[in-house]
Amino acid sequence: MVTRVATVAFEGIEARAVDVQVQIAPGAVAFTVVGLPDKAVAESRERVRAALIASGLALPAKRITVNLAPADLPKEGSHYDLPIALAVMGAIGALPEDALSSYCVLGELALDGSITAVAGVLPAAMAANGRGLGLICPAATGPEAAWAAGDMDVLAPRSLIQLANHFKGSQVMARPRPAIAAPAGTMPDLRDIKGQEGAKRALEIAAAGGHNLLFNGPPGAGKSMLAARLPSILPPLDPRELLEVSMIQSVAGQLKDGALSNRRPFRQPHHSASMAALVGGGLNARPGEVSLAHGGVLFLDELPEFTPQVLDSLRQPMETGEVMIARANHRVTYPARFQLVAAMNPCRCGMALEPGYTCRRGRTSVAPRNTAPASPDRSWTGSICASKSPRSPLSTSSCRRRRKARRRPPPGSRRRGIGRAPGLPARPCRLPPPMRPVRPP
Amino acid sequence: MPASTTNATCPASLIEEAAAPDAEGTALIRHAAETMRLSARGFHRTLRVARTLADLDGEERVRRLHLAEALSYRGRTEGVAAARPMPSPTA
Ligand SMILES: Nc1ncnc2c1ncn2[C@@H]1O[C@H](COP(=O)(O)OP(=O)(O)OP(=O)(O)O)[C@@H](O)[C@H]1O
Ligand SMILES: [Mg+2]
Repeated sequence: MVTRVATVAFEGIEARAVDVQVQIAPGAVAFTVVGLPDKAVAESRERVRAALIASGLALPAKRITVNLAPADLPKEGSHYDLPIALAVMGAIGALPEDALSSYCVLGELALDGSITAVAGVLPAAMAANGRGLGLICPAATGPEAAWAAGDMDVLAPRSLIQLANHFKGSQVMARPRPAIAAPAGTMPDLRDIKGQEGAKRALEIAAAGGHNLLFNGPPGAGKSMLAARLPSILPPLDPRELLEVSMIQSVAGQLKDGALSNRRPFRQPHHSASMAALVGGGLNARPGEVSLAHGGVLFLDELPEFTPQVLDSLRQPMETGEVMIARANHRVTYPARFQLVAAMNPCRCGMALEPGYTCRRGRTSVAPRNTAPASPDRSWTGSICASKSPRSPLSTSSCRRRRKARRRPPPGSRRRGIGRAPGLPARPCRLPPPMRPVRPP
Repeated sequence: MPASTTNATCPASLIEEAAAPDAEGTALIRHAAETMRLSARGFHRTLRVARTLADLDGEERVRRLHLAEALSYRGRTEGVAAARPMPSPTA
């Protein structure tokens, strides 16, 4: 006889349906997993065996075969432990078999039978809800799963024993509550910037229209400082964006305590970041920085220090809003629509744009030093570049107007404005003239 | 169209319509397209930024002044991004 438990395999942020089938048959004692499992999945049987023993269940001295169907879909990750264990428990009669048929299950097992958090619970919960199933997931990720639908059945047990008690009816678990992340402290404020009216204006325009932005100027002029203050003037995510952004963070394993945040992401990868870290890939084809910046800002400080391969890899996401990661036997696509903000010095000494300077050390360009330019068309570096000429200071009225500007509603429809940008100075501030670095004699 | 569409990400056809400048503005962008040798993409990007500038001014229509400001940002970017020949040390 075959026991079945529903689970998922991830393709990007999509959770595809996978069926765990367990058969216990007479024959040589063995425990095998088939159905295109990767290494972490194959190791799962050791964890399952140990966790079952720790929970007081002995595996029968028979042939146990686990099949992950469909067999042609690659299975990666450690979240198959729990569905396999539950299917085995169903097969040996430790759980009522019909109890499992209305759930989709994912989770990793520790050797002591406790259930460890896994990535991707939010998309799994959405997919389960779409299939009319409930969800069994690790306790730590319960708040994340609860976001999928208000009336969905979600069980978030700490251990196999707790789950068995729930089904026996001796200790019924409560449904976890959806959690929203507390705002993480105060954000750096645009008010801290003295002068640089032109750059502030550019920052405001970029925030309003979602435009890309390149700051180019001498060291110490405040480029990094300005960029760090962009999140404070961006509008919060709207509910649909929130879910999409959170699904990416969920698959990346970056949702802290299962709580979602309506802050726009601001990602600042270091220039030594690898290609896989930036565009995604590596183990389990996790999303990279470009996808983690989806709906928010990707800030590349010291732009010319990034390698040409890395910069070139940004072209596809910037044109299409998605990034495709090619794997050995399949492809994964993640959303990657971000606003690119970059900062650089105009030349190696940083002073080339200053009046009265001629740099003797050569200008920087987005193409790397010592290498031929990687691409003939570098227009992606930005539609706005911060000018350093003084301009009128920011005012509250421009802050109000920004609300109108951020969204371009489709023709023939009216959309409500976004909330007030929190970080702007409430009154026009009086500022000293733009800062210039001190010139050498 | 997704709710998250911004001036920067909306389709080119839509921005052409939403940022169609007045007569003076049209003359300016035509002229600039020739003198600055704007590509089609560069043209659309200028319109996008001009649309945001008009939005910030609370105006329905993109005007010459918005296009001029948008083009001014573009000019600076080009001057930096284009890899110019290194100035010779004796110059
Ligand atoms: N406009 C400004 N207003 C107030 N403080 C400033 C300003 N510009 C620079 N500073 C001060 O100088 C420090 C360095 O600024 P920042 O790191 O932003 O410079 P940068 O332009 O990024 O330089 P680099 O090209 O070396 O990266 C800031 O931490 C801040 O204390
Ligand atoms: Mg800096």
